[in-house]
Amino acid sequence: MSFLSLTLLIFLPLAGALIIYGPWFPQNEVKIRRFAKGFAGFIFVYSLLFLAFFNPTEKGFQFTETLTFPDGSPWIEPLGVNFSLAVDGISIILVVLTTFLVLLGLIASKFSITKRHKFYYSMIFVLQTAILGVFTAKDLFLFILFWEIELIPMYFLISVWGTGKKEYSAMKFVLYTFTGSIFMLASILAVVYYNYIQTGIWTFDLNTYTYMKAFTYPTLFGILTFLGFFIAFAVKLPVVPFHTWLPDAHVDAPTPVSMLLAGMLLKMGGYGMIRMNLQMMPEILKILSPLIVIFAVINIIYAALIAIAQKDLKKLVAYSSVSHMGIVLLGIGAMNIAGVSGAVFQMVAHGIISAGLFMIVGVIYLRTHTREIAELGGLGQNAPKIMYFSMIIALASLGLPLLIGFAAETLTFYGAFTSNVFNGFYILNQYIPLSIRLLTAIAIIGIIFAAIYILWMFHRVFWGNMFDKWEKFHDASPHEMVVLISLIFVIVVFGVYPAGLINIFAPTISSFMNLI
Amino acid sequence: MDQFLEFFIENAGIIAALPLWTFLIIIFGQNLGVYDNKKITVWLTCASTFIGFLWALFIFLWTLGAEEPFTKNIAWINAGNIQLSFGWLLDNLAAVMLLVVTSVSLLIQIYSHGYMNKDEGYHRFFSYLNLFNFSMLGLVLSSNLFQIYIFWELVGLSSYLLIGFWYRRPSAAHAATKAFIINRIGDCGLLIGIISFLFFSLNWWAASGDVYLSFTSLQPAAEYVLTSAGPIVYFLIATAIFLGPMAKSAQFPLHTWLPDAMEGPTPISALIHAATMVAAGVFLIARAYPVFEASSCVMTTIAWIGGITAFITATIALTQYDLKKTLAYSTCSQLGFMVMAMGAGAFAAGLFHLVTHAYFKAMLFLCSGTVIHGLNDQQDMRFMGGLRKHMPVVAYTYLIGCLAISGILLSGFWSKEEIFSGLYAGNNVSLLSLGLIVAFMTAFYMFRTYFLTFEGQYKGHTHPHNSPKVMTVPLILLAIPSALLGIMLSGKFFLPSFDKYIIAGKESFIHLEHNENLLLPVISILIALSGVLTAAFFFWDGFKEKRESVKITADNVIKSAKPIYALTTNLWYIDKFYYAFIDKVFLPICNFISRFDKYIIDGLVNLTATKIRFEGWVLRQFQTGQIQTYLAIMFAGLIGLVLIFVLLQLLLI
Repeated sequence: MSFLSLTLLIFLPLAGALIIYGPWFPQNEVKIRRFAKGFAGFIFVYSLLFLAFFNPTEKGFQFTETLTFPDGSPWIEPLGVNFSLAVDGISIILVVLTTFLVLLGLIASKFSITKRHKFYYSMIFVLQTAILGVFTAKDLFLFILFWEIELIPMYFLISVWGTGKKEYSAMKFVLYTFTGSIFMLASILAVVYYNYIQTGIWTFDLNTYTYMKAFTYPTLFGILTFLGFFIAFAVKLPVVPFHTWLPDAHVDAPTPVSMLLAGMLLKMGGYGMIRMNLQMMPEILKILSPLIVIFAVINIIYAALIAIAQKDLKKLVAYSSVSHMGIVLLGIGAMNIAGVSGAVFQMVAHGIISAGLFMIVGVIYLRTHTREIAELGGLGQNAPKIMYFSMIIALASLGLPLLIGFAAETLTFYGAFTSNVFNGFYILNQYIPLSIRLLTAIAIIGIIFAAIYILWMFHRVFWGNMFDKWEKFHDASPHEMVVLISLIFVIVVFGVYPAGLINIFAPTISSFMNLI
Repeated sequence: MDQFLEFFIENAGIIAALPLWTFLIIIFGQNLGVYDNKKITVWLTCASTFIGFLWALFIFLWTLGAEEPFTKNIAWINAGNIQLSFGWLLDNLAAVMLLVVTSVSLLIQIYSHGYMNKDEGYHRFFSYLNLFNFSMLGLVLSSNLFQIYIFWELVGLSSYLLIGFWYRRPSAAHAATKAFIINRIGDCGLLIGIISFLFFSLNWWAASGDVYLSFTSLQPAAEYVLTSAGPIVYFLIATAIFLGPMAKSAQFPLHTWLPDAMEGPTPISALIHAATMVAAGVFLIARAYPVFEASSCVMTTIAWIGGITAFITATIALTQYDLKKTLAYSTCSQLGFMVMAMGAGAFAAGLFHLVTHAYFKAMLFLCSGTVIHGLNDQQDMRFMGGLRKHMPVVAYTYLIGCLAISGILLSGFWSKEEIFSGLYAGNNVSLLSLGLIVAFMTAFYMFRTYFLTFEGQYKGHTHPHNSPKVMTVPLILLAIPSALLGIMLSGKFFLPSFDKYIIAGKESFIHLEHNENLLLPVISILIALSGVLTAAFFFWDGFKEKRESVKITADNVIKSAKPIYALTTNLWYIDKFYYAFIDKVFLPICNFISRFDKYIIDGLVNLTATKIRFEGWVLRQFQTGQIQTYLAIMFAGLIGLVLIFVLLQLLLI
């Protein structure tokens, strides 16, 4: 299996970016896009090979790869920083999700990107490298490095090709994430230093801190470090009240970028939380889980209520994203196998569904140049295909059984409900008998709100009377069909057969949950 | 023979799979342009349902000789301590439901071929019908509570699609969304109930080795939950589960979606919103009976919810002028009857009424559909009348349906009478009298529709045209069970007994002794007859002179009872209250939170940014790069320092 190299996988997109951006590549828009799609398709297939050769039952990291200098010394020797990559059951899923969504995003770029094509496609590839890097890094230093690199292409993607207050939104996104990651940097250094004190070795190796974890952290130190990580990931996930960058960024980003933003970038937050907060310091998470679960419930309900009030289609979808990511947080807070499996499943499900929803918003915007729900209506009359595709994706989003969202939500709710992580908690020495079961029951009410905002939106956009001005609203074009059908294919396949997905990551989760 | 039947039992899942395949064939066949012949669609659909019907017959034959229910399961999700499965459970209840669903479905599909023939969405309609059949049969076959939840939502989806079938009409679109959202409230309760039930009985399931939440072991599990959770929590769990049936079977206060659902094509109103899907709620109560039975508080709640629903919706049906809406409220009311029977412990009677109701109500709806079709989509009864001369077959079948539902000797009589005797045996005097009042109203409003529609003078404008055979034959076929099924399964006169069949193997259930005295049946018939006579007095032309001579006409009664009339025509203000709540409370809250998010939370973020920018601006004033400014500041500072120094000196001295 020597041809399966993670280093190659994560640097292939970068190579693609260089090929496109270089002066040797023709300026012709069609050629650029064709090459980009082909290249992304190749990367997708290559990542599928990793999945094919991945052994779910093996514990810990696989495909581990450490690059050294020719003389055998590591990357930054004095600090014990290695350039080392690996995947386990959780990250392999997210890697494949990333390559899949980038491919679809590039296909979806045909009409929404109208200028500076070379720059755009190379930026998408740089973004892909950074995100793949985050998901595959087996070294804390490398992790934060890729985490920060991701901001650069994202800034350009929003501010150059976006609409509306695009510079403001791009800057807000970058500064917000950056502020969050400062806390993460501090926490990483704290953890590494603590390890140095305990063992006398400088190392950033993720495996040491997660699967091979040898000690528990003292409570106060642990809580501070935990919160450092949590803030960084909470901004990314996002967790209310750190979420306000998201609606702005989504609304002003072009369609494919919104798809990638919701589909992959938010997952970095969930992934980080599982790796650092859950796997690295479970004993602290156990103490703070009431906080996490309360945050999760607020996320689910609060964002859903806001989504109901939205008049802008894209904002509605953005807030539905926030609401759905609350389910990820709930699963993590539950701290049992079913809950965490549900969280990972929800990350995949949300990645597919939200990409689909943003694609639909893009399809509509392209034809009508408006995102005001009140301006739309009766669009299904001329575009039944778009209507039915939207309906399936919308139904998946509200968690209809046999579609991908349902298995994720049910697993999480079940996990959270059966969790024994807390039956109540103390605030200022005052015992509050609010068990995780009660909080989960409140969270489940969120599925009613999800039905309300999704179906009401669908009803107002596609059903009922049509305005005369949308007479010429034409049905899906072939490349839109390709994107939507691919997403729906995944939605249906893993909705009907969730075990196909669960079997990949559940053994990983049970292996580290058993360590806790 | 046994091995022959064994095959049908082992592969019972195919009954549900057939419509799914047909659904896929129609969807892909249409969208990929493989065929465009309506005949192919309708034959495929009817064939799949007919095979299902035969299959159900064989299963029924098997149940006659079987001692134990048959189950087969396939694992679906396995993660941590959660194990969820798909499968099928075949017992007497499932066999009955399969027969009812497939037979009604088949006849309605044939009817739909005539009804929908001119509609451009013909193939779409049949694909939805197949999707519905798949979900409904899957629901009936479900082996465990979790699986039933999945199909529960899928029947909701089919209902949503079919109510919104004419999605260009704003009212249809609105009704579909409303139906789904109200059902979602029930689903949410059901999900919470199932998960909490599973949580409290997790150890029990793990120890029993049975499929999680399997219906066959629900009784010991329910007892385990009752002891481990305590009566109050148990009451909450069971009530949460009951929320599901409440929404699906249109029980008060979640009943308001069902009358609106009449926006769908009439065959759908007959199949989904009268005969099968709405009865799924009653079916779930029957399936999960041990869960409810374990707590008498829950049973009382269920019985009273059913009784209140039956009463409220019957009063609304009294004053409706829309033919389909009247039938819809009547459906709510009859479902209330079934739920009431279930709650009062008359398990078999409730199911018996479900079965008979499925046939006669489906027939009534199809009759109304034929009338509406024949009058070019006229639904208002004030523009009908005298139609018996134009469409005699419809009129007579409708009359059979009216007699059946009113409880005059035809099927409805036998099932209703059982419910009454069940209530009597359980000493539920208050519910019994409520039921009798409702029975009176039922007879009244049903015959009111009959007289207004089929008797007297035609008051419409379009010329009524008769319907093709493909639409009248199913009516006649449905009229047979509507008339005779009741007595045939009554257990009287040496005929087979539905009760004994359905109770078999469930002796542990509360079994109410069947009351054999003749008083109750006589009273119920007298009450029904008086309802018919009252309706005739007000609405039949034969009594015209009489009622005018004593000056008691419908108009006079309405005038003298204005507040009550206003209450029922305004549907007890329930819908108005909901809309007011949404407009005045719910949406303002959402808007408030949205503004809070925009101005307070995001405002704080931007304020932080502005603060930093301001600090930067302040500091920037000292970093202009102009030597004059620096010198001026240095000079000012120097003077300031000198002044301070001098002042200090002066003060110290």
